[in-house]
Amino acid sequence: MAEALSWHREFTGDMTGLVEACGWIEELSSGHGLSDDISNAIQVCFEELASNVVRHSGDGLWKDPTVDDAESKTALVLKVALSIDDRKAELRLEDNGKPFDVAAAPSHGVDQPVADMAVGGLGLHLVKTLSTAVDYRRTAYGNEVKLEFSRVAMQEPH
Amino acid sequence: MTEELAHIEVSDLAGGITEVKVFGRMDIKGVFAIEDGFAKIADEKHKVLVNLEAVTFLASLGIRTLVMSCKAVAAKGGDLVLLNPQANVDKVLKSSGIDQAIKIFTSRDEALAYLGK
Repeated sequence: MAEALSWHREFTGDMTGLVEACGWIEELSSGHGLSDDISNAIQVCFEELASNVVRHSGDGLWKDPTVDDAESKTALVLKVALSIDDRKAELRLEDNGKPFDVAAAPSHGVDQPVADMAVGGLGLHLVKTLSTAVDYRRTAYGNEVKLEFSRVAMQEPH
Repeated sequence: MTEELAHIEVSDLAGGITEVKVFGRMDIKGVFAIEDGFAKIADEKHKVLVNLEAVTFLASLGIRTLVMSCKAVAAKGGDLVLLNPQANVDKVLKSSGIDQAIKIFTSRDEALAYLGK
């Protein structure tokens, strides 16, 4: 079995940090033996999740009313991790924004004529379609989303 | 990764058809660079051929740009179609189901014939 690889990094939860994070994920997912299919899926899913956080959690960070830690929750931060082994790639995104359960949130593909088409929910549909597993949990820090991309299920030779 | 920032080239073809050729990555950075151009075309044109053959990556914000443009053109009674997406872009389009609402052609002649009908 080849050695498992993992990386993690933090980014500011603003547009600058988002663009930087997307570039980092692009570079990692393109350069470590993953198929083009999985690399593409990781990039599409990451951009959707991270941009949702930056666009929708920026106004007023979620604060647990039972915890007196206002000082530590003054800026939105994205914590990003990617790990790759023989069987799968796993993308983890943590943020300290307001609660948002990606796995439970409604999503839909396009099922209407263009004139009636709703754009909201399309991105989450892509995340759920392009990954092989989506896991969400609320942690003391905030939201944690893990996406799995199976190198076996996605029929990647390795 | 250093790749040229996304941009578009616009050509007026016979029959009142406008071709929009997109270059680069339609990611969050790329979409910011091209969305105003798309909005202007969607506002002004009735028959739009979006050539995707030089698009190397498509994320959901890119899909949103295509959908919003298509809706704007359709609202005027016009039509917008897509041409020649690369395999990874095609997979994202089909995974989103967008091919059920926006026609995707692999033949330029067929796309032009459809818009010219």
